Amino acid sequence: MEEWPLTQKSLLVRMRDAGDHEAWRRFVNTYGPVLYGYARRQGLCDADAADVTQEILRRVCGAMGQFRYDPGHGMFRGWLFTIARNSLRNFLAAASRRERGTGDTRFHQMLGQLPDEQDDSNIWDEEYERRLLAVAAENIKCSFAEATWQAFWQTTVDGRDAKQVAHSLGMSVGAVYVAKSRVLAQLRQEVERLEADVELQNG
Amino acid sequence: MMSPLETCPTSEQLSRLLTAQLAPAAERELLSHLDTCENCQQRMLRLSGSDDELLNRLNELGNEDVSSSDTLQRALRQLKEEVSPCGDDDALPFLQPANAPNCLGQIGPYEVLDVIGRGGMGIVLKARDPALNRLNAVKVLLPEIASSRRARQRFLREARAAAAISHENLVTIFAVDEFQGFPFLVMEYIEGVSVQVRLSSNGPFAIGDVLRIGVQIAGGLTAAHACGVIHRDIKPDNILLNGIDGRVKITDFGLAHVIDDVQLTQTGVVAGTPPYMSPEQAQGETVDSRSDLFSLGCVLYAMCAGASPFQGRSTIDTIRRVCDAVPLPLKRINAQAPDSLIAVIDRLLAKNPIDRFQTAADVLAALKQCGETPGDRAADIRATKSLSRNAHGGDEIQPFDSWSSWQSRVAAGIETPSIAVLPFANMSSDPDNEYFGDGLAEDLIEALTRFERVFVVARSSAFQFKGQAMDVRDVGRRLNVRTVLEGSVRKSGDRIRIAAKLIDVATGYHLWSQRYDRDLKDVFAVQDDIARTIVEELRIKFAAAIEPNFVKRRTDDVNAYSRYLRGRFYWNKRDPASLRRAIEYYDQALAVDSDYAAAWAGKADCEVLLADYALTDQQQALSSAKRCATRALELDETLAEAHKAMGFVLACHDRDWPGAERHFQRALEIDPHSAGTRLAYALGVLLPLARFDEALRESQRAVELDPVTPMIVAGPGVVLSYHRQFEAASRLFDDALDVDPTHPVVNLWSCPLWIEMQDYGRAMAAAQCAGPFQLMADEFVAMIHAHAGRPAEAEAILTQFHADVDRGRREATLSLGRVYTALGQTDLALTWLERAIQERIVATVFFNVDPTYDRLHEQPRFEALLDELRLR
Repeated sequence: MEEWPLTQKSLLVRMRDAGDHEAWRRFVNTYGPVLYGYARRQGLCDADAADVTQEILRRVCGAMGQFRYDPGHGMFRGWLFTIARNSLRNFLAAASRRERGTGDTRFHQMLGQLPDEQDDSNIWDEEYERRLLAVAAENIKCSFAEATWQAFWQTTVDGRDAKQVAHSLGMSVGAVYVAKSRVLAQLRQEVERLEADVELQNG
Repeated sequence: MMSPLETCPTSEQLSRLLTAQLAPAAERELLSHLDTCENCQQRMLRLSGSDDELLNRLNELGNEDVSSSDTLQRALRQLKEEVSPCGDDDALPFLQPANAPNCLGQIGPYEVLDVIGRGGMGIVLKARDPALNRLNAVKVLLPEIASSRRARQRFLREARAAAAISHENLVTIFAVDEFQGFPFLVMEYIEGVSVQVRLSSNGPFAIGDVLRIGVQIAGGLTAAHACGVIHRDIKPDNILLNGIDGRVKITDFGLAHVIDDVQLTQTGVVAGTPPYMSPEQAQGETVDSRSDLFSLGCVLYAMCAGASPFQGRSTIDTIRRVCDAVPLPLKRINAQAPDSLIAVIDRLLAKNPIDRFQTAADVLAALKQCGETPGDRAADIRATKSLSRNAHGGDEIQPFDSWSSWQSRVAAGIETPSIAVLPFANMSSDPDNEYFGDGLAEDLIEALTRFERVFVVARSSAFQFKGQAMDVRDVGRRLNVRTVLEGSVRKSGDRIRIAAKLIDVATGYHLWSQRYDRDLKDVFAVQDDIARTIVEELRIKFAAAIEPNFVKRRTDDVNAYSRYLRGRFYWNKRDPASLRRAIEYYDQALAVDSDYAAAWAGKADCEVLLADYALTDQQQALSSAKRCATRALELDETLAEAHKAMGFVLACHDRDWPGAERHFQRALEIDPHSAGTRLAYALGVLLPLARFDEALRESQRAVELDPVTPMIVAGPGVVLSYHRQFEAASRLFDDALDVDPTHPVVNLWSCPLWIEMQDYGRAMAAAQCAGPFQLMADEFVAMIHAHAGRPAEAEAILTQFHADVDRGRREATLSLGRVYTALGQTDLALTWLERAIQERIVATVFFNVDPTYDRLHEQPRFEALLDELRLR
């Protein structure tokens, strides 16, 4: 649900305003899962990934004031990647120093196995797009009736056949397709909105 | 039982089904067709805009679910609390644990299933009433607002008043209650979207829908006003469209009033939504039911045009427009709108409530009549034409209407061929190739600018939407042009793929589209082809006589061209580091092709900009600029940029004023649409020579050409502040700072004004924003200390300036002169100012007009300086 102003300020610009808690809340809800997913892909366990995510978001919060924002597609994504990549390395390096003497070499190994920049950037892109999609789905879910949502979810995410889904939900096949298409249309818009939110011109 | 359609439905029908715009019977018929027709099932999916990539990614989501990690959620919650200690906004503190499964919790007897939305005032929940087994929407007042007793009482009172009205076009309120200090109201649950959502996703409504929805809003308002309830916040967000029966429902009656109680005391901001607010409401006066009618007019206008008629660049700007501006005639934006509907909307938008319809019932009747008269389509071309003449005719100076006169002049431009060229999207795998798409578009803009009768939107305006997910037609409307060119470019090795299409803003039709798969070296041929075709299309469409005049290719070498484009990319960023990078790229281009005139001109301009802000040794930079500009003009006398650079050098270094003026005028003759050149002419020649009226006019023309770039917007403010019109100047600076409050250049420019106005706090804040321009910023800080009676602090900075001069930083001589002037040490001041003139420091050209030197004007030594500068 969008509030005034219509000519939105970029989320990033809003986050520079220390009083704008809503902007921060939205940022954390949207990019927390992206960062967590990225950390998990590098082999971190649940708790460590959550820690790293927290740390990265704190750095982002601190860096926001200095982020010379220059609108352009993909700018923000790359910027966040740089912070994420460096933070992850710092985290692993620190953890690896700590484990010296304990005989454990888990983090030390992980540090040695980190992908090179190009691979890492691909992993990042994949996670970024996937998480953003999941967040978008979560955001729009509440604007649909349960049956509509289920028709969409089961036919796309669960990959089930439309006829079966129609049967189990007590809908017609046509209604399943309409439900699926309506959700997809909204979903696509929501992803675009999320992306636009961090790529908008400095308001 | 209905039989399935024999033939497949049209795409139009399918998209109406997708957006839930069909009547129930028609929807049922289509659904049963979709049951069996696999072809249409796929068409439907395609209409939703989804592609295989999206579907695949969705399918991958099924494999694991990251966001369900409790550890992550805990970590995120903790973070949010750190930043907003008043409580996690996600939390719903009023919820009690629920008995039923799949519930978030309970409020009173209601089982909360989900959060529908959050607004400035409350949280809307989807909830079930177990007693009636009915879905409801429950709106709970936000904790921070509920803490005000007055707001709480007002909420309950307003909600109860609204609950007393029953009408099919008002969201029914079932109950108003309070639960453990949290007031809430229980409403009917509407399955559907708001007019705002529909507007953002689909753009303007069909006229038939505007009338149908308008009639229902007016019906709902009639019922409410009859009961003495005023809405106070009619806007597209509050008009819900029921997806099931298509009925319109107005929500949130009277609730804006609740915010008044909280906000008026806290922030002095009036509640309501500025672009849809009535003038009386915006001014904080008492409102009656006619205020809702004004807002209804805004909503109807927005449904036809895509946005509110008063949408401004900032809240303040919007409010000013609500109160003063005449909206752009709807007919120009939406040719389909019938005159009868336009007349109704115009009357609703009357600034004075007495001139509006007096009751919602009257509006209802008038809207019903619009539906009955067949669309009176007579396009009012004569009126438009006479208006365009008026807009072009007047030449008086009116400091405060530059924005609106730009609007009307550009609106008048609608009758002439007009085009916006958007940056070409970079489809290459390498994001670094962005410069190429930008450069292509810029070259096209430049090529098109050379056609006299075509209105081409300035680069900065056209590029402001870059990276935003906005419909091209909306962009066209925002820029007030009839056509938009958009395209994409994919560069991979030595191959390029360029796709371009020319779109008619009014209809959305593609006037032309073409895809080129070529070798990189053919890029010039492709550009020429695009420019030629566009001009041809414009000539046909507007039946206008456009003189063919094709761009001269500036180099034949793709390598040189590609470096040149990179140079331009950085030049456009304008910050010191980028300007230096731009010079490097121009040098590389020139190393490949030393006869590349445009690269010489580009380099000249970079040197000038670096010199202008004292970021480099001015003498060296300006000598280099002069060499580059001279070489550029030898190669191609028609390069406006080179004339501009030359004009600057002649004025600010050589003090050859007539020569400078000739070059600026030549630059403007070649490229009359360049806002940057106009402003440079105004500030670099006219202002130093104290030709204030001309300087103001040129700087205002620059704003008309480019109302987006903060520096351009601030230009007239500089002129007025040197003309001692401090109040007027401060308003113009405020305008520019609305756009970007921390803009270093605008802040730098505004600093002397705040000093003159003795607002030293603001002056200091402005100087602090001017970080990148260290020397000038320090100079202002010292001057502020001097004026504010802190000579010791000023002296400390002077010491640093002396050290700078000793280290060969010539520009600091002027800083010394200015600060000594501020300290009242006249002899020392004059000594340093004389030195600054010998060193040919750029800003010495303002000696005759800058208020800083007012107290020196009686001194013969100072008068001699003015003569030396040939300022008299």
